[in-house]
Amino acid sequence: MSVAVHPAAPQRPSRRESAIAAALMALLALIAAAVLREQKRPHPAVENFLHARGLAAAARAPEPAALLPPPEGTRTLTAPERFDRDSLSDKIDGKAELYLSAGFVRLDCQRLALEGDEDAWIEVFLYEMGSFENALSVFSAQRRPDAAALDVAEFAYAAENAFFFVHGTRYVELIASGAGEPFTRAMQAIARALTAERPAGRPAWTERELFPAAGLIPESLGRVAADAFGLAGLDRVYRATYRTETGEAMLFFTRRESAAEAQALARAYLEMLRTFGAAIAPAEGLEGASRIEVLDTFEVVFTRGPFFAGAREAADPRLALDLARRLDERLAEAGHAPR
Amino acid sequence: MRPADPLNRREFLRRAAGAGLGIALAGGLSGLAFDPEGPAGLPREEAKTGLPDFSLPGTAGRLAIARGAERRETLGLALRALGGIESFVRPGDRVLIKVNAAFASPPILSATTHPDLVFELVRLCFAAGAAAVVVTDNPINDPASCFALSGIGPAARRAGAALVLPSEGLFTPVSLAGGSLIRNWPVLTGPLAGVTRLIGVAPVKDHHRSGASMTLKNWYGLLGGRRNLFHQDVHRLIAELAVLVRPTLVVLDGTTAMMTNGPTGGSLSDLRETRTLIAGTDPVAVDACGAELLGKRPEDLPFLGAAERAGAGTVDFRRLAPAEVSA
Amino acid sequence: MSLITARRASQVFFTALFLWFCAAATLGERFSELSGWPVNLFLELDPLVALATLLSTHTLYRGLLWALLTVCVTILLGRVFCGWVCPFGAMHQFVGWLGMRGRSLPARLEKNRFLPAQNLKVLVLAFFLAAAALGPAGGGSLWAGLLDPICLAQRSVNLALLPFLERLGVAARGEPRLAQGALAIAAVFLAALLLNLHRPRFFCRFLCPLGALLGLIGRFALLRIGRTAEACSGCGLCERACEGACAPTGRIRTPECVVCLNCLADCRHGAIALATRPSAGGEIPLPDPGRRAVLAALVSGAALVPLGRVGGSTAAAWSPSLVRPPGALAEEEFLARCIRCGQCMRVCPTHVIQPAGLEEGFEALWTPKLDFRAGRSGCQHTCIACGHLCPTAAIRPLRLEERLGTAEFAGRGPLRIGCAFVDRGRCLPWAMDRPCIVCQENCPVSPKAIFTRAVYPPVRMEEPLRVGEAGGERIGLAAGRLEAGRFATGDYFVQLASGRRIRIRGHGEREIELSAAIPDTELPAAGSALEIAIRLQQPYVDPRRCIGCGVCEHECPVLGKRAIRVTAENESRHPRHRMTL
Repeated sequence: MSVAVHPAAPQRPSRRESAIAAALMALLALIAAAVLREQKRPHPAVENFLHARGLAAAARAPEPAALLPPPEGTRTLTAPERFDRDSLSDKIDGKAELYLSAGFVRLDCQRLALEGDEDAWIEVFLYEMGSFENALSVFSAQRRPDAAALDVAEFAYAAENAFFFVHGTRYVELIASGAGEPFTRAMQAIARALTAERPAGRPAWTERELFPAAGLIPESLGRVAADAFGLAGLDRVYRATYRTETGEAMLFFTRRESAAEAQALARAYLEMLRTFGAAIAPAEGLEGASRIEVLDTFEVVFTRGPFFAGAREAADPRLALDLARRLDERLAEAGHAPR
Repeated sequence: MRPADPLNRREFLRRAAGAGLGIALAGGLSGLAFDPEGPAGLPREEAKTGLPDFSLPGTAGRLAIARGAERRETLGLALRALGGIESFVRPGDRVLIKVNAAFASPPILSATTHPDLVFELVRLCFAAGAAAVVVTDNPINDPASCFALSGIGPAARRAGAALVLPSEGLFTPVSLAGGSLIRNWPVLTGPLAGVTRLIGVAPVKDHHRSGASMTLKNWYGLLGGRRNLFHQDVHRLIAELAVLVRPTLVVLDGTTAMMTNGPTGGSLSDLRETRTLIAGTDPVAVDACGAELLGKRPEDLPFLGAAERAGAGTVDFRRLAPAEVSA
Repeated sequence: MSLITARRASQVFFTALFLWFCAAATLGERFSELSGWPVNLFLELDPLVALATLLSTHTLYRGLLWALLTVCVTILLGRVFCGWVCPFGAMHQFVGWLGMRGRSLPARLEKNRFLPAQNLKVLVLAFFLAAAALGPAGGGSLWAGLLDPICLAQRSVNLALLPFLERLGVAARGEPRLAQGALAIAAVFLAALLLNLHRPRFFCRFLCPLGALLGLIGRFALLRIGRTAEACSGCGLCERACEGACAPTGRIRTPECVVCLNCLADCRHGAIALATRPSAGGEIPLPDPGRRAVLAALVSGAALVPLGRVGGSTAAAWSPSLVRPPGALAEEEFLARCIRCGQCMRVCPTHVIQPAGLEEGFEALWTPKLDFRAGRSGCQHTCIACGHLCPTAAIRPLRLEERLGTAEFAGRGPLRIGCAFVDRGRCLPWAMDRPCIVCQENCPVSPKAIFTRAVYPPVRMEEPLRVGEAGGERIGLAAGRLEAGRFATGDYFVQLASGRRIRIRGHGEREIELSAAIPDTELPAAGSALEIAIRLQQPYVDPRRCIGCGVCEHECPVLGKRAIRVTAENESRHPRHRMTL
């Protein structure tokens, strides 16, 4: 093997040595070039840094669009905010679960001020619930007892300082910072603007027609999205309250996929009541129905085809039976009708 | 250039071989160990899912209530009413008895499973032909003192059972499918190795956190780790334990019930002679029945309802038509 | 151009590159910032880092594969890394050159004589490798980072030199960063450099474990320095500037040679050559520290880790004050990887990552620890820079989604590095009757992890207040006086006997103006005692929401020992540290 480097005259590098040194310098230049090239490719840490900075900037930017053009007499007070399923609790912590379990999609809200008064404002809450039924569920679940009738929508009521109504697939709340005529007028205007801006479309809610008409308290119509009457699995329940000479009671029904499913649900319901100490016997006068006495009230529940239904909260067993029979007749007629 | 020296040539070849080998070795090793991804984040779940099911087909829903002051007698009566120990322990079976030895306190305080009951149960198992009987628990106080002072250790040994005290190697991480609390949690699985029957034996006690400690709460003693975390959600935990542990049989000793200041008690005035021993194959029903001895309704103990909803048994024990016998 | 010049150019080039990488490792997209610079290059080229992590984790993480290049070059050419590339070596060489200037030839020859103590570095190496390989759970501890030349230099430049320069006003971006423990780190660095005045390349010759490793790897180097028999006059000039003190005159010690090539230039007889054949003077191909000494080093290294952990620092007695950066592995795995290079601390945009001192135990020395007082803020919850800089994945590279607990990580929730605790004995609204909600306001997570509950305790007055005339929105005082302006902040209320509280809008010394009228039925009687209440919003921490970012601790106005502090409780990296279900 040969000698690689053997400088005969130490003071002057040999040609071979110079060549090797030059090659090494070229190597250094190559390394420098590679490093410079690498510098052009963003480091993941920097990419995220820029991304996060962009996010922060976007979060600071005001939302351009308004929820609705402010009706006459009002003006926009704050920018609209939007919340999704993940962030809903940022806005209505503690109550979010009510909406989430009923199919909540999105909440848009914004404050409008009354013209000429900085401290008088109304906050508009538009809960997009995905379906009319879901919107009705959250509407009926929160119905205030001291409600006054309201004509802005089919399902609507007013409190002293607020409007609540269902519009299409949306549940709408208008909550004012005070009570009084100017607020009511402004809320009327906002409600009209909202309902006019987007027609509700006639809700395909034929279930309502299944409730017998006589004695029905119209504003009591409602729907329970989940866990009705404390029973897990009892969902999509329609309910209404009846007023008769002998007292008040509730009728309810839910339509299942099959008769077998309805019967299973009925069994689970009875089983649950039994653990609460209910006395259960066959109801005379309605075939296949059960008469239940629980906590000093009476119920009659039954299945009819795919329906599980019944009367609840009656002080008088005869009232429960009477209402249940009337509901059964309606369901029997509808039982064969397509959904 | 000088002609190559053969000695140098040999030396060079030797070195070249060494260098080549070195490079190959380094390259190979690096290739094998190369890890472009880096370590996975949270510790992997290496947990087993669930525990074996020790319940016997055909014995579901059996429940017996025996009244009397003498534990060995009432145990015999109750087991006979359930069809005899023979219907639960067959010749050759290896039986694990999970006692409640939580505290280093004397039998008279009824904070732990009574030694007489342990002795009699072990004896009956052997009488039925059991090949081996093991008694275990993971107590709250020092295990050795707990087993010694509660009298359980001596009683078990006298009856011929083996005692297994917990040690680190006997715990393995276990997850309950669908569980939210028992996830990758150390469970005393060592003593379960080779076991074919599992019997739980617990006293009836008031419990400050969960309302009552009976046969379901007794499975808490199979947990290891920093289990006091679970006191933040004890009812759900007991319900999960009820799903995780499916015993062959449970025995609930309500001969003397700790009515107040549980689970440790400490005073005889905490105790009441309730003269009842309950045995059955449905721990939820057994505990629901035992709750009455404490003057509680099943609704007062949310873990019972939760366990029932989870499919672990029946709260309405009367539906199981319990056999009631008296000494 | 001679090879010596080429070597010097190479050393200058790599040292400049190294220093540039250190300086550029700050978060940003500009040319002088991190942008895309391969700032870990030298750590990744370091075979000791690679081998030690290979021993402790049985893996070779990402860029550490570059060490294979160094290994191959060393196998073929010997310790060229030490003489041509290593920036720390270049610094030693430079200081050593300063120290040798003006010395006589005999003095130089004496300073460059081989000393048996040079075998010490092999023992250092054996000690560190054993510590890395044999931990309690198989994986050991990366103590090697303490003396590895690249780690040592990187740490010293990152954590002492650059912060010091910033303080002097050089290359400072905004407020100069605080650097905990800079003195100790600088002291080691300076000591290593100053020892060169005693003997050139002191650290390289006697201590450097990487040099020892490369010396062993270069056992079969094909091209090496050696003497030709016929030309040598035995003058010894070749050792005049021998960097490695490898004795080229006699039997050359190849593991000591750093291929500086000074001998080649100094020989007047052309008797020294870089050649493939063995040196005519004979060769000593391996260091000779003595079998017993090696064994002792191995045993002490292996015993060290378990011994250090007898106290339970990685088990039950873990330190709650040791809050690790987000993505840090569980403590044992972390210590099996952390080389204490300081890259995470250098890149941290808030400088909240600081080197731990001896207060966290010797094993944690100079490993990253979050110090919410020294940082410019807490740990930014949208930042994942440290894990992407860490060359050994002791802090693993997170995706932002994982840190925030979104997308596919939604089930796990956000990554927690600790939990904040309110010190009720120091907190203003808890202990001092002073309103303050700074921590709650600054909590960056959504929903906030810090919430407050309002209480309205009576204000402590020097003298009792008595009502004079009261009516409408005014209360005159019959006795006592009010300190000017003190109660007009909006936090103070008049507490009526009925239980009603009315906010104080303003007051004079003897008269209070309320923000609402007192109902006539609740008017306080003249002469009755008047109570002023203060609204205090007392902070609480929700452990399910708190991620331990420490912004609250950083912002807390109780500046010494903060009234809200983050400790490592509940950190995600260790299920055993879980505090809540």
